[in-house]
Amino acid sequence: MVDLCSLTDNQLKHKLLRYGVKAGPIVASTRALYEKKLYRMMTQHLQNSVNSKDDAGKYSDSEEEKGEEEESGSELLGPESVSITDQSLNPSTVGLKYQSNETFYPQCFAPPMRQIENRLSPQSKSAETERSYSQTPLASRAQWVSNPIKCFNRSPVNESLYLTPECLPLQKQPTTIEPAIESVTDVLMEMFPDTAMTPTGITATKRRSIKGAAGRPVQFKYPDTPLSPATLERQEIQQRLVPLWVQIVVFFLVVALLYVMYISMEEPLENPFSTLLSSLSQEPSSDDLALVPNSQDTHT
Amino acid sequence: MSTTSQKHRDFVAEPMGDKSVTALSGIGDVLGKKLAEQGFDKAFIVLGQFLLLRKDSELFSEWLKDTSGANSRQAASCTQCLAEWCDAFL
Repeated sequence: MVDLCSLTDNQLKHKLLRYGVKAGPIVASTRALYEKKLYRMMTQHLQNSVNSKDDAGKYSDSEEEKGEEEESGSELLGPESVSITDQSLNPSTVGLKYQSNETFYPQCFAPPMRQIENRLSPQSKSAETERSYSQTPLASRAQWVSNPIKCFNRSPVNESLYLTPECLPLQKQPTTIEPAIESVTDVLMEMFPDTAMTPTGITATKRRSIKGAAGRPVQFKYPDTPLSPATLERQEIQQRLVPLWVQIVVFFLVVALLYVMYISMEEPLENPFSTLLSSLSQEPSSDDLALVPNSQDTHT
Repeated sequence: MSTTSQKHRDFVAEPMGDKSVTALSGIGDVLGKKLAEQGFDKAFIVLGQFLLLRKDSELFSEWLKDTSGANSRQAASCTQCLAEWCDAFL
């Protein structure tokens, strides 16, 4: 574990990101909270690793380590320097070492990047794993011994573990793993810059809980809330798009138009008939008048 | 929380403007005084802290408990109040 108080804001943010927490801006008023959160995540992580102790027993080299425990004090310096040069020279060593060390991951949950690495360099894998198996116990012990003083107190679970020798590899894992994770996540971050890094490498979004009408606007939830003046006005306009007096005026205009049409239709129809009738009535009378003097003439 | 208080509804119904921190539901006189002593005298300053924490209700509740000594119910009430206000007005 690292001294959380001495981290810079950016480092704190990156560490939180590695545990799958997307931190907001880290300022004076939020920093204490994020430090606490990171500390909680770290202890949780440790406890998880303790829980899967059986797997660790299956894969780790605890017997070998017990034998080396006595001589580890004298051999501290040698293997540590070797492992450091290995890490700096050979990035694939780091990834593999990480895999062989971090036995508390079930294999299916191992981050995908490492499997790709294995596939890419199968011939180097065997040699590297052998080397890492032989070196990690001593190297990690050396790092563990070199910086045992921490900022935070250990949780009770870890303290009890500290006393039992077979759990020592589990406890000191974070100190050795962290540089390895950093180098691996850098590659991952380059490939997928906008995905949040989770400890297992699996990204999943949490399903939002459906609680009442949580997402709905206030109007639906509290129907009696006062509306803003703008919406009231809009509603009024929608109710009466055309004012009442305009409606009445238009109605009278239409009525007047119809009346005028009726009048104008009536007169032309009446006139031809009247003239025809009048002409018909006038013509015979003129004939009669014309005939009568003639007959009178003939008689005389 | 299944039901909401009258204070909650009053706060969520309109923009917070210049309301005091005690207008937040869950924050009474005592908690309001403690918050005001630390500079959080207006509701919008508390909202600022809520937004700084990315509207994370868990972290915000924790902060409120640490800062004002609120209990879990008060912190949850205040958090819900601010979250719904944000849904409505942001």
